[in-house]
Amino acid sequence: MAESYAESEIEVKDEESSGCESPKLGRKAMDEISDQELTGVPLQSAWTFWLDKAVRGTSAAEYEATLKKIYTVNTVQGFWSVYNNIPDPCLLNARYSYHLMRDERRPVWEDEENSQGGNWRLKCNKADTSQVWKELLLAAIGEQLSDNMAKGDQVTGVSVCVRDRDDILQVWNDRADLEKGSTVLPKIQSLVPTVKFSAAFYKPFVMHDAFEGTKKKAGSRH
Amino acid sequence: MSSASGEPKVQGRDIPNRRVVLNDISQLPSEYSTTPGGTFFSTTPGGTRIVYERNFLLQCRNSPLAKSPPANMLEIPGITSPAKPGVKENGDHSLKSVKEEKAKVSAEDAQFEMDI
Repeated sequence: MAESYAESEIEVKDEESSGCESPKLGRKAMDEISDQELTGVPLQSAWTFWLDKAVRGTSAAEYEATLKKIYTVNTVQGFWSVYNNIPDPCLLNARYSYHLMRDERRPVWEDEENSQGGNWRLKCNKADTSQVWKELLLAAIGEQLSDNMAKGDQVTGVSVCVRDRDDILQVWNDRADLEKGSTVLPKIQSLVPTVKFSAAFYKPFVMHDAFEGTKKKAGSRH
Repeated sequence: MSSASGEPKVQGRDIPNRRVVLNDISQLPSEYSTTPGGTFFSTTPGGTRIVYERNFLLQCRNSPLAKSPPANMLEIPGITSPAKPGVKENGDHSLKSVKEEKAKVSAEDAQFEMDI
Protein backbone atom coordinates (compact mmCIF):
# COMPACT_ATOMS: atom_id res chain seq x y z
CA MET A 1 0.00 0.00 0.00
CA ALA A 2 2.61 2.48 1.04
CA GLU A 3 4.66 1.90 -2.06
CA SER A 4 1.86 2.38 -4.49
CA TYR A 5 0.88 5.55 -2.69
CA ALA A 6 4.40 6.82 -3.05
CA GLU A 7 4.36 6.03 -6.74
CA SER A 8 1.22 7.92 -7.40
CA GLU A 9 2.63 10.87 -5.55
CA ILE A 10 5.61 10.94 -7.83
CA GLU A 11 3.34 10.94 -10.85
CA VAL A 12 1.51 13.95 -9.55
CA LYS A 13 4.76 15.73 -8.94
CA ASP A 14 5.84 15.23 -12.52
CA GLU A 15 2.84 17.12 -13.79
CA GLU A 16 3.63 20.77 -13.92
CA SER A 17 2.78 22.77 -10.79
CA SER A 18 0.45 20.76 -8.63
CA GLY A 19 0.13 23.83 -6.44
CA CYS A 20 0.56 22.30 -3.02
CA GLU A 21 4.10 21.07 -3.44
CA SER A 22 7.10 22.81 -1.96
CA PRO A 23 8.48 25.54 -4.16
CA LYS A 24 10.89 24.14 -6.68
CA LEU A 25 14.45 25.27 -6.27
CA GLY A 26 16.84 25.57 -9.15
CA ARG A 27 19.79 23.24 -9.29
CA LYS A 28 22.11 26.04 -8.33
CA ALA A 29 20.09 26.88 -5.24
CA MET A 30 19.94 23.24 -4.28
CA ASP A 31 23.68 22.93 -4.63
CA GLU A 32 24.14 25.88 -2.35
CA ILE A 33 22.22 24.29 0.47
CA SER A 34 24.85 22.64 2.55
CA ASP A 35 24.53 19.15 3.93
CA GLN A 36 23.68 20.19 7.44
CA GLU A 37 20.75 22.22 6.18
CA LEU A 38 19.29 19.11 4.57
CA THR A 39 19.76 16.68 7.39
CA GLY A 40 19.81 18.74 10.55
CA VAL A 41 17.21 19.40 13.22
CA PRO A 42 14.98 22.26 12.05
CA LEU A 43 14.69 25.49 14.03
CA GLN A 44 11.46 27.39 14.59
CA SER A 45 12.76 30.08 12.28
CA ALA A 46 15.96 30.83 10.46
CA TRP A 47 18.54 32.87 12.38
CA THR A 48 21.33 34.99 10.93
CA PHE A 49 24.73 35.64 12.47
CA TRP A 50 26.02 39.19 11.92
CA LEU A 51 29.24 40.93 12.84
CA ASP A 52 29.66 44.66 13.19
CA LYS A 53 31.97 47.25 14.52
CA ALA A 54 30.56 50.25 16.34
CA VAL A 55 32.50 53.46 16.17
CA ARG A 56 31.11 56.66 17.54
CA GLY A 57 30.77 59.54 15.18
CA THR A 58 30.72 57.56 11.97
CA SER A 59 28.05 58.10 9.38
CA ALA A 60 25.28 55.58 8.81
CA ALA A 61 26.91 54.49 5.59
CA GLU A 62 30.19 53.91 7.36
CA TYR A 63 28.46 51.82 9.99
CA GLU A 64 26.74 49.69 7.39
CA ALA A 65 30.05 49.08 5.71
CA THR A 66 31.20 47.34 8.89
CA LEU A 67 28.06 45.19 9.10
CA LYS A 68 28.71 41.71 7.76
CA LYS A 69 26.29 38.86 7.39
CA ILE A 70 28.20 35.81 8.53
CA TYR A 71 25.64 33.12 7.77
CA THR A 72 21.95 32.22 7.99
CA VAL A 73 21.18 28.94 9.72
CA ASN A 74 18.00 26.87 9.63
CA THR A 75 18.96 23.90 11.77
CA VAL A 76 20.52 23.17 15.15
CA GLN A 77 23.56 21.64 13.47
CA GLY A 78 23.83 24.60 11.14
CA PHE A 79 23.82 26.89 14.16
CA TRP A 80 26.67 24.97 15.78
CA SER A 81 28.65 24.74 12.56
CA VAL A 82 28.84 28.53 12.60
CA TYR A 83 29.24 28.97 16.35
CA ASN A 84 31.98 26.35 16.51
CA ASN A 85 33.92 28.04 13.76
CA ILE A 86 33.93 31.70 14.69
CA PRO A 87 35.99 33.15 17.54
CA ASP A 88 34.48 33.30 20.98
CA PRO A 89 33.45 36.86 21.89
CA CYS A 90 36.27 37.01 24.44
CA LEU A 91 38.67 36.88 21.48
CA LEU A 92 37.12 39.85 19.72
CA ASN A 93 38.58 43.27 20.11
CA ALA A 94 36.60 46.07 21.69
CA ARG A 95 33.83 47.68 19.61
CA TYR A 96 32.99 44.49 17.75
CA SER A 97 29.63 42.80 18.17
CA TYR A 98 28.04 39.53 17.20
CA HIS A 99 24.33 39.46 16.58
CA LEU A 100 22.03 36.51 15.99
CA MET A 101 18.90 37.89 14.40
CA ARG A 102 15.66 36.07 13.64
CA ASP A 103 15.26 35.31 9.94
CA GLU A 104 17.52 37.61 7.98
CA ARG A 105 16.75 40.89 9.65
CA ARG A 106 19.68 43.22 10.16
CA PRO A 107 20.78 44.44 13.57
CA VAL A 108 19.75 47.96 12.61
CA TRP A 109 17.34 49.87 14.82
CA GLU A 110 15.81 51.86 12.03
CA ASP A 111 14.96 48.98 9.72
CA GLU A 112 11.22 48.68 9.42
CA GLU A 113 10.99 45.29 11.09
CA ASN A 114 12.94 46.56 14.13
CA SER A 115 11.96 50.18 14.59
CA GLN A 116 8.90 49.51 16.77
CA GLY A 117 10.99 47.41 19.11
CA GLY A 118 13.85 47.86 21.48
CA ASN A 119 16.23 45.80 23.48
CA TRP A 120 17.09 44.69 26.97
CA ARG A 121 20.69 45.55 27.75
CA LEU A 122 22.70 43.72 30.35
CA LYS A 123 26.12 44.85 31.36
CA CYS A 124 28.32 42.01 32.42
CA ASN A 125 31.84 41.31 33.53
CA LYS A 126 34.12 40.09 30.74
CA ALA A 127 34.77 36.89 32.65
CA ASP A 128 31.09 35.99 32.24
CA THR A 129 30.51 37.19 28.69
CA SER A 130 31.13 33.92 26.85
CA GLN A 131 28.88 31.91 29.13
CA VAL A 132 26.02 34.43 29.02
CA TRP A 133 26.32 34.74 25.24
CA LYS A 134 26.09 30.99 24.74
CA GLU A 135 23.09 30.68 27.04
CA LEU A 136 21.34 33.55 25.27
CA LEU A 137 21.97 31.94 21.89
CA LEU A 138 20.59 28.60 23.02
CA ALA A 139 17.56 30.22 24.66
CA ALA A 140 16.89 32.13 21.45
CA ILE A 141 17.14 29.30 18.92
CA GLY A 142 15.42 26.87 21.32
CA GLU A 143 12.61 29.44 21.73
CA GLN A 144 13.06 29.19 25.47
CA LEU A 145 12.28 32.88 25.91
CA SER A 146 8.96 32.79 24.10
CA ASP A 147 7.04 32.06 27.30
CA ASN A 148 8.57 35.17 28.84
CA MET A 149 7.40 37.56 26.17
CA ALA A 150 4.10 39.41 26.23
CA LYS A 151 1.43 38.06 23.93
CA GLY A 152 2.07 39.40 20.45
CA ASP A 153 5.74 40.06 21.08
CA GLN A 154 8.76 37.94 20.24
CA VAL A 155 12.51 37.85 20.60
CA THR A 156 13.98 39.11 17.35
CA GLY A 157 17.65 38.90 18.14
CA VAL A 158 20.44 38.59 20.68
CA SER A 159 23.73 40.47 20.64
CA VAL A 160 27.05 40.58 22.41
CA CYS A 161 28.90 43.86 22.24
CA VAL A 162 32.53 43.75 23.29
CA ARG A 163 33.62 46.90 25.09
CA ASP A 164 36.70 48.08 26.90
CA ARG A 165 35.47 47.38 30.38
CA ASP A 166 32.24 45.47 30.87
CA ASP A 167 30.62 43.90 27.82
CA ILE A 168 26.99 44.39 26.86
CA LEU A 169 24.54 41.60 26.12
CA GLN A 170 21.31 42.47 24.36
CA VAL A 171 17.97 40.82 23.66
CA TRP A 172 15.93 42.47 20.91
CA ASN A 173 12.16 42.42 20.74
CA ASP A 174 9.47 43.36 18.25
CA ARG A 175 7.27 45.66 20.28
CA ALA A 176 8.56 48.25 22.70
CA ASP A 177 4.98 48.88 23.83
CA LEU A 178 4.74 45.29 25.09
CA GLU A 179 7.99 45.34 27.06
CA LYS A 180 6.15 45.74 30.37
CA GLY A 181 4.48 42.36 29.93
CA SER A 182 7.78 40.55 29.63
CA THR A 183 9.65 38.53 32.21
CA VAL A 184 12.73 38.12 30.08
CA LEU A 185 15.20 39.66 32.55
CA PRO A 186 14.42 37.25 35.42
CA LYS A 187 14.47 34.45 32.86
CA ILE A 188 17.97 35.41 31.72
CA GLN A 189 19.12 35.60 35.31
CA SER A 190 17.75 32.09 35.85
CA LEU A 191 19.79 30.84 32.90
CA VAL A 192 23.00 32.11 34.52
CA PRO A 193 22.22 32.15 38.25
CA THR A 194 25.79 32.85 39.37
CA VAL A 195 26.36 35.80 37.05
CA LYS A 196 25.96 39.31 38.43
CA PHE A 197 24.87 41.92 35.91
CA SER A 198 26.02 45.38 36.89
CA ALA A 199 23.13 46.91 34.97
CA ALA A 200 20.04 45.63 33.20
CA PHE A 201 17.36 47.72 31.56
CA TYR A 202 15.15 48.04 28.52
CA LYS A 203 15.29 50.82 25.97
CA PRO A 204 13.08 51.34 22.92
CA PHE A 205 15.09 52.11 19.81
CA VAL A 206 13.19 55.33 19.15
CA MET A 207 14.37 56.64 22.53
CA HIS A 208 18.01 56.60 21.46
CA ASP A 209 19.41 60.00 20.53
CA ALA A 210 21.03 58.40 17.51
CA PHE A 211 17.77 56.92 16.19
CA GLU A 212 17.40 58.20 12.66
CA GLY A 213 13.79 57.35 11.90
CA THR A 214 11.99 54.28 10.65
CA LYS A 215 12.76 52.69 7.33
CA LYS A 216 15.70 54.81 6.47
CA LYS A 217 18.31 52.14 5.98
CA ALA A 218 20.67 53.68 8.46
CA GLY A 219 23.05 52.23 10.94
CA SER A 220 22.42 51.61 14.60
CA ARG A 221 24.72 52.71 17.35
CA HIS A 222 25.37 50.23 20.04
CA MET B 1 -8.73 32.99 5.14
CA SER B 2 -10.41 36.33 4.73
CA SER B 3 -8.61 39.45 5.73
CA ALA B 4 -9.35 40.76 9.18
CA SER B 5 -9.75 44.35 7.97
CA GLY B 6 -8.97 45.67 11.41
CA GLU B 7 -12.16 44.44 13.05
CA PRO B 8 -11.66 44.36 16.80
CA LYS B 9 -13.75 41.20 16.96
CA VAL B 10 -10.94 39.17 15.48
CA GLN B 11 -9.08 37.66 18.35
CA GLY B 12 -5.58 36.38 18.17
CA ARG B 13 -4.50 33.34 20.06
CA ASP B 14 -1.20 32.21 21.40
CA ILE B 15 0.88 29.86 19.38
CA PRO B 16 0.51 26.67 21.38
CA ASN B 17 3.69 25.31 22.79
CA ARG B 18 4.35 21.67 23.12
CA ARG B 19 7.47 20.57 24.87
CA VAL B 20 9.15 17.42 23.73
CA VAL B 21 12.14 16.44 25.78
CA LEU B 22 14.79 14.43 24.02
CA ASN B 23 17.50 12.59 25.82
CA ASP B 24 19.49 11.50 22.86
CA ILE B 25 19.93 12.58 19.27
CA SER B 26 18.83 9.12 18.16
CA GLN B 27 15.32 9.96 19.29
CA LEU B 28 14.96 12.40 16.47
CA PRO B 29 12.76 11.44 13.57
CA SER B 30 14.68 10.65 10.44
CA GLU B 31 12.63 12.83 8.13
CA TYR B 32 13.51 16.46 7.74
CA SER B 33 9.88 17.45 7.56
CA THR B 34 9.11 16.01 10.96
CA THR B 35 10.11 17.48 14.30
CA PRO B 36 10.46 15.55 17.53
CA GLY B 37 7.08 14.44 18.73
CA GLY B 38 5.72 14.36 15.21
CA THR B 39 4.87 18.00 14.71
CA PHE B 40 5.32 19.63 11.34
CA PHE B 41 8.15 21.94 10.50
CA SER B 42 6.13 25.04 9.93
CA THR B 43 4.16 27.53 11.89
CA THR B 44 0.68 28.04 10.61
CA PRO B 45 -2.16 29.80 12.39
CA GLY B 46 -2.90 27.45 15.23
CA GLY B 47 0.31 25.59 14.50
CA THR B 48 3.04 24.67 16.92
CA ARG B 49 6.16 26.45 18.04
CA ILE B 50 9.28 24.33 18.13
CA VAL B 51 10.91 24.53 21.54
CA TYR B 52 14.22 22.79 22.22
CA GLU B 53 15.68 22.21 25.63
CA ARG B 54 19.20 23.44 26.30
CA ASN B 55 20.62 19.97 26.90
CA PHE B 56 19.34 18.71 23.60
CA LEU B 57 20.87 21.65 21.75
CA LEU B 58 24.19 21.02 23.48
CA GLN B 59 24.15 17.38 22.44
CA CYS B 60 24.01 18.44 18.81
CA ARG B 61 27.13 20.51 19.21
CA ASN B 62 29.52 17.67 18.62
CA SER B 63 27.77 16.01 15.72
CA PRO B 64 29.98 15.69 12.65
CA LEU B 65 27.80 18.16 10.78
CA ALA B 66 28.25 20.77 13.47
CA LYS B 67 32.02 20.65 13.54
CA SER B 68 32.99 21.96 10.16
CA PRO B 69 31.91 25.41 9.02
CA PRO B 70 29.27 25.82 6.31
CA ALA B 71 30.96 25.52 2.94
CA ASN B 72 29.68 28.83 1.67
CA MET B 73 30.09 30.96 4.80
CA LEU B 74 31.17 34.53 4.15
CA GLU B 75 34.91 34.92 4.37
CA ILE B 76 35.83 37.43 7.04
CA PRO B 77 39.54 37.41 7.86
CA GLY B 78 40.04 36.87 11.56
CA ILE B 79 36.46 35.65 12.01
CA THR B 80 35.50 32.97 9.52
CA SER B 81 38.88 32.59 7.87
CA PRO B 82 42.40 32.77 9.23
CA ALA B 83 43.81 36.22 9.68
CA LYS B 84 46.97 34.56 8.52
CA PRO B 85 47.80 30.86 8.23
CA GLY B 86 47.68 29.12 11.56
CA VAL B 87 46.06 31.79 13.72
CA LYS B 88 42.44 31.12 12.96
CA GLU B 89 41.15 31.64 16.48
CA ASN B 90 42.73 35.00 16.86
CA GLY B 91 41.02 38.07 15.52
CA ASP B 92 43.90 40.30 16.44
CA HIS B 93 45.41 40.63 13.02
CA SER B 94 42.57 41.97 10.97
CA LEU B 95 40.98 43.70 13.91
CA LYS B 96 44.10 45.41 15.07
CA SER B 97 42.97 48.84 14.02
CA VAL B 98 40.33 48.70 16.73
CA LYS B 99 42.91 49.22 19.40
CA GLU B 100 43.58 52.65 18.04
CA GLU B 101 40.04 53.64 18.80
CA LYS B 102 40.26 52.89 22.46
CA ALA B 103 40.74 56.53 23.30
CA LYS B 104 37.27 57.36 22.04
CA VAL B 105 35.58 54.58 23.91
CA SER B 106 35.32 55.98 27.39
CA ALA B 107 32.88 58.57 26.11
CA GLU B 108 30.33 55.94 25.17
CA ASP B 109 30.80 53.97 28.33
CA ALA B 110 29.87 57.12 30.13
CA GLN B 111 26.75 57.32 28.02
CA PHE B 112 25.81 53.81 28.99
CA GLU B 113 25.91 54.84 32.60
CA MET B 114 23.64 57.73 31.81
CA ASP B 115 21.22 55.42 30.04
CA ILE B 116 20.52 53.78 33.33
